[in-house]
Amino acid sequence: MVEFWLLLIVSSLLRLLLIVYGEWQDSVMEVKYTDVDYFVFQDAANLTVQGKSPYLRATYRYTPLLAWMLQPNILWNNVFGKLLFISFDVLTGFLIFRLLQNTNTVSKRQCIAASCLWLFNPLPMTVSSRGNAESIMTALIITCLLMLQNGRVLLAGCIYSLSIHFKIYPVVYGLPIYFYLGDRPVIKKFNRTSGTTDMTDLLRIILPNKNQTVFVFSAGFTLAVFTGYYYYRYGWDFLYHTYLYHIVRKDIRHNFSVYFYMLYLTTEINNSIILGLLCFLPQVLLHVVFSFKFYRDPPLAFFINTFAFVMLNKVCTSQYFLWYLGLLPVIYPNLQISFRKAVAVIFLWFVGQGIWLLPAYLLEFEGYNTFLFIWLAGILFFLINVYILLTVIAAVSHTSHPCWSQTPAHHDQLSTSHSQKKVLNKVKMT
Amino acid sequence: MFPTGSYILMYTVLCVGLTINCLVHMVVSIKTVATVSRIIYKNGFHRMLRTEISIPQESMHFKPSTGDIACRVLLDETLPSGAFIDPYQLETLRAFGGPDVLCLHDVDTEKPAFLSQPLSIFIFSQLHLYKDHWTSNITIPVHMRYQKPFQEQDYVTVTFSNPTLFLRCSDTVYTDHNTEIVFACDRMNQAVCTWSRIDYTSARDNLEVQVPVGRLEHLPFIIGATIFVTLLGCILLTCYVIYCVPSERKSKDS
Repeated sequence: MVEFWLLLIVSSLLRLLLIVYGEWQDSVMEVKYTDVDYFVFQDAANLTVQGKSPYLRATYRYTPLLAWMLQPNILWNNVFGKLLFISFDVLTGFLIFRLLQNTNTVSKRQCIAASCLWLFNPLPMTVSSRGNAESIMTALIITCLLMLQNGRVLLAGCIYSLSIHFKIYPVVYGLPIYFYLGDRPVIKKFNRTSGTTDMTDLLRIILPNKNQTVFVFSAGFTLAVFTGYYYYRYGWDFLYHTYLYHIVRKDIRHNFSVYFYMLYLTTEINNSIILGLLCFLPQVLLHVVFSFKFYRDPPLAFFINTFAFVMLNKVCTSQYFLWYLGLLPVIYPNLQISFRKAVAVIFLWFVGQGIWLLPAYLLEFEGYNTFLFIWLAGILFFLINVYILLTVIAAVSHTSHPCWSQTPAHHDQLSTSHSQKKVLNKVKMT
Repeated sequence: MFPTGSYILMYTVLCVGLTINCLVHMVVSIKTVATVSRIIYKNGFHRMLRTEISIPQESMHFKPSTGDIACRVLLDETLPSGAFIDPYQLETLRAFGGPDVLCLHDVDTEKPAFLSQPLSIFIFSQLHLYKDHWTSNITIPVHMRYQKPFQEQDYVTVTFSNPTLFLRCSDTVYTDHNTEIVFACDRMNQAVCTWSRIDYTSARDNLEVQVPVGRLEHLPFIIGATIFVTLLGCILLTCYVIYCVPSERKSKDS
């Protein structure tokens, strides 16, 4: 069997090669290999070097931490950021391996295969070598999972809130993490046949225990420290561009979202708040249902929540797909799915995008009025996504990471708080 | 007598008329020697705006005791609210011989047309001698903004009006200039120069671009169908998860 460290080195070298190629293309071609955002990061880093606010650079909508991290780009060499991003990228591959290694039913061979699914996947390879910061997110989220797996709740909280600080979307992991930490060693059945156990189970995972308290406070504290410090330094600009912009963002230009045409047509209608709510409701519904149903297996809950979030988001570009693709290798070894079906599902996913891309291209670059077709393609892509989600859920409903669903050793540390025990007893009595 | 007299009168009127006409023509041709021709090419939301400026060589006169002519033109352009330039894109293009564009305002590249203002930009360019004309070709990438949806209409027209043209020469005198302004010498906007406004002729007063728009009459159907499909998808998923997924995993029981 191939040594794992060898694969890490080879995948790093491949990424380095892509960086070298990118430098060459940038110097001779008008069409750049480097991501547009990379120049944004770099301009922002330059501003912080000069002691100015990174938000003076238009379209810089990230944490100042990123601009600070990329200061060597200005002080040393502008390739530093890309090296940093590919490091996080390869680190993600390593973390996927570690995470799966701790689950005792997955063989080493499967761990390596899953890790290779990331390490030698052309998508993350090009994304990180083009200078996109998405690999920081995948590394943070998988680290958070690893910390949870090892029962290091305090660290998990810190890492988790750091990931929210970078990008807002990991908020959808909050609920499953909280439920997971609230789970007791003896996991009772949570189904419609036993009414009273439902109530106790519900209370047991909702009422805060020690771990949940530690998690909430460590996450809250970390987020408060970062937010407070940067607010103090950069004021409202920081709050708006880092957090609020991503929440209130209203981009009516064509994108993969199923809601795109509807939101574009209603852009000037006053009561679109009701519509906004109607779009938000399914997202919340699925988030709660999935968190509740799959919290015992956090990687799975993370993947499904992200997938549902992206599929129902009001804005959706291909960059958003990376959010769940990073989690795919982690859940992949536990999917009970035939190779043929897996290929068919992936093929469908690409077909859905392809069908959307044609009218979108004709609109954007040829000027044809294809809005109706883009909408139809969006609906089709949504239905394909629903089907993919159903397939994934069906494929995991018979299995799970044993380390997550069995009573792992660290669960013994999760002691029920005194007050909570009382409440639980009361519920049982009634 | 009567017919002869009237012929003479008519002849005189004709002659005077022709003379005036000729005079007017001469004045016009002297006044408007520069020509500007513009086209917009490429389709869709990403266009190229090409401006060709041509000034006849004879309208440039050497100042006494100077050598070569070095002239620059400045185009004061106002882009309609339905279009914008991306300053960062232009910055990148400059490394490959892209145009010198000065834009004094921040450009929001995401806003739709109905939330945007017309954008004022200044383009600088060197004149080059080609045959007996001083010419300059400037191509800038312009992007179209999304337009408000319309009823029964697939496209709306966005109109680009012609720019104001200024000339500045280090060692020549242009025969015809009316107003002088003081403005930035170049894209860097660090020094000011005196620019002479010059008139020009152009085949068209403006350029028009058709931008596709959403159709408002689709609205009721789109809202109904979108909400129906998304809610259906969510209900399907919810029901499947609640009723078909066993809560207790086999691996845990074993």
